[in-house]
Amino acid sequence: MGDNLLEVKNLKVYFPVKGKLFPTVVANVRAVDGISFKIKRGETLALVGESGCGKSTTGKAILRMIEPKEGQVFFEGNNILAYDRKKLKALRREMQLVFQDPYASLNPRMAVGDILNEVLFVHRLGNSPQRKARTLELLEMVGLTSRYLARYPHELSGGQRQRVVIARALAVNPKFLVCDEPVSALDVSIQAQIISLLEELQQRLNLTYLFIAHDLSVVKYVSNRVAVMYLGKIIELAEGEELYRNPCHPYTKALLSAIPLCDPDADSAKILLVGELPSPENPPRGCRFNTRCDRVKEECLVNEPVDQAIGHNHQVACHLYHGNGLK
Amino acid sequence: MSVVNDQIKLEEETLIPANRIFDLAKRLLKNKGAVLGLFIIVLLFLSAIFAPLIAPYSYQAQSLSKMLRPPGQGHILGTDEFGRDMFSRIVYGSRISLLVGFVTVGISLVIGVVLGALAGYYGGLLDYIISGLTDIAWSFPRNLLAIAFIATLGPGLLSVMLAVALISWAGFARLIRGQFLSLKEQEFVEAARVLGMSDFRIIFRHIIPNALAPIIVLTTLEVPKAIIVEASLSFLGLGAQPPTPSWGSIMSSGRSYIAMAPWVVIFPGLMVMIVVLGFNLFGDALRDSLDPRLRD
Repeated sequence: MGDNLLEVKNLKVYFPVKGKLFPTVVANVRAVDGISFKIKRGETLALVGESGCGKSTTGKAILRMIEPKEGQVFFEGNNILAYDRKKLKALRREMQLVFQDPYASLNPRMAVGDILNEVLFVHRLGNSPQRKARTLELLEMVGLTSRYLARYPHELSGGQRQRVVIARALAVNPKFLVCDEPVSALDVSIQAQIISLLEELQQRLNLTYLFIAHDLSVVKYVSNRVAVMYLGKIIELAEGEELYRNPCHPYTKALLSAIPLCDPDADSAKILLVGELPSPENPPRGCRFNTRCDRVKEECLVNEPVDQAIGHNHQVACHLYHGNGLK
Repeated sequence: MSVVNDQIKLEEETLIPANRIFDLAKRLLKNKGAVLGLFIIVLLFLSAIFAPLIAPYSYQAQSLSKMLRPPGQGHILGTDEFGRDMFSRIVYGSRISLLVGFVTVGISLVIGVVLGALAGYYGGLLDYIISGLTDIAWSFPRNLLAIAFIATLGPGLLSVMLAVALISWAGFARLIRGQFLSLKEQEFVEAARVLGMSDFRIIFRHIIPNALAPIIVLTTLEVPKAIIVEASLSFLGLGAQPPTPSWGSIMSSGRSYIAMAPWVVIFPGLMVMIVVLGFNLFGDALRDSLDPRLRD
């Protein structure tokens, strides 16, 4: 295991589709179809992809909010998919989730102080005065003050709510956070604040992040490594710098070319993807990207590409890179 | 970060005081309908509690010489066919109406919350069975089902309360199941689950408080409905037995004299109407002020 905090092996999450007439399984939506990755202690792995590619499902399966069909998730060397209820509750103190929509992820009828205190109470973390002190500490940690204790979520702005959501996740002192698009529901000006808050907390508390996003420009600032997902598979995984400098998979290239540039004179030959994401109920044969790829070959229609290392910590699943990474 | 802090400080200046109940009362008093509804309900409660002090006569003191007197002359609302004071009987009648209204709704609320929560939260076979039962209970006309229950339980006030409770839980169960179905998918419920909270805590701390507004509205609509069902059952002679002064039974006994003494029927009927209106007005206003998102 070494310094890997989390290791995901061949994770599959299928959602059964039931028949209209009889409740038998007629098909499976293959939301996550066999993905593997490792996250080192203290690093941030970004999981990127368009809507419906299975990135949020991956995050939820790691947290066991959704039961995976197959695969293993090792947290500090233990396969957490085998945990029973009691062990699972203890695991909740180790890994937590920051939700996408801070408007929906706070109970509208509980004041901020109660929201934080409840978490501490449920996990029996300290007595009443200790919990109160810890609640204040948590608020300060995310840049809020004691004035917010009695406030209700609807009295807060989106950024303030997201701060409360982060404080709630940190209440149990976790080692690992899944950030499920934590800034995509926020204004651009607030996004930067929340991201820098997350980075600051990572430094201070030695946290490890799985950062889920649909937008590579946000990811650029936070992640050490980036995994690009397409239709339930990881198609490219590399260190952040490397991926931005040398994207290999045609899909990654298309995503990167979609980032707006500030320089009006820059050569902005955008690669436009045509068509929709194919249905994960019935993914295309061969390479899953073959319906939208601009460099599709005959082989892509038949064989599914396997992960290939094409450089230092850089892997890609594409038939263009046979052998030693030469096109 | 300093930009954020400035912003936070600015907002703290305009902080609202946190006394929630005081807040709620203040908002309610701004609403004219709520004040009128509350006024009617309070009056009803007062007359039920202090009936012996308010009523000028006993509700069963007969005086055959004063049969069917029109309103006026010592009897503000006239007298009935036995010369009993109508005002006194109506005042005592408020006890029956309130008792039936609250006891039945209390019972059906408990049944409805338990069944609705189980069905909505756990789903599956449990939901299938409970929803089936609810639909069966829901599909019968209220009064007919109540009559059928009373036929087996025997007439009387207790039977009426049980019968009405057994027919009106379905409305609560349906409402609560629906609320659970939508609320359990909400992110804050998912958050509670990820944070390791128990089902019991999630149901009672996170889901039910957020379903409270529609439950309260339905309760305030069910209390007057129960009052009406009680009145109609008593009117049919299945509820409160004479000489117990229920508004329904007063109307029932007065219906033979409706041409010569309409006041015997009109005043209890008017009371039913006013009380139902009062509950509905108050319930609507309460719903509006309870929802923090609708505030101001």
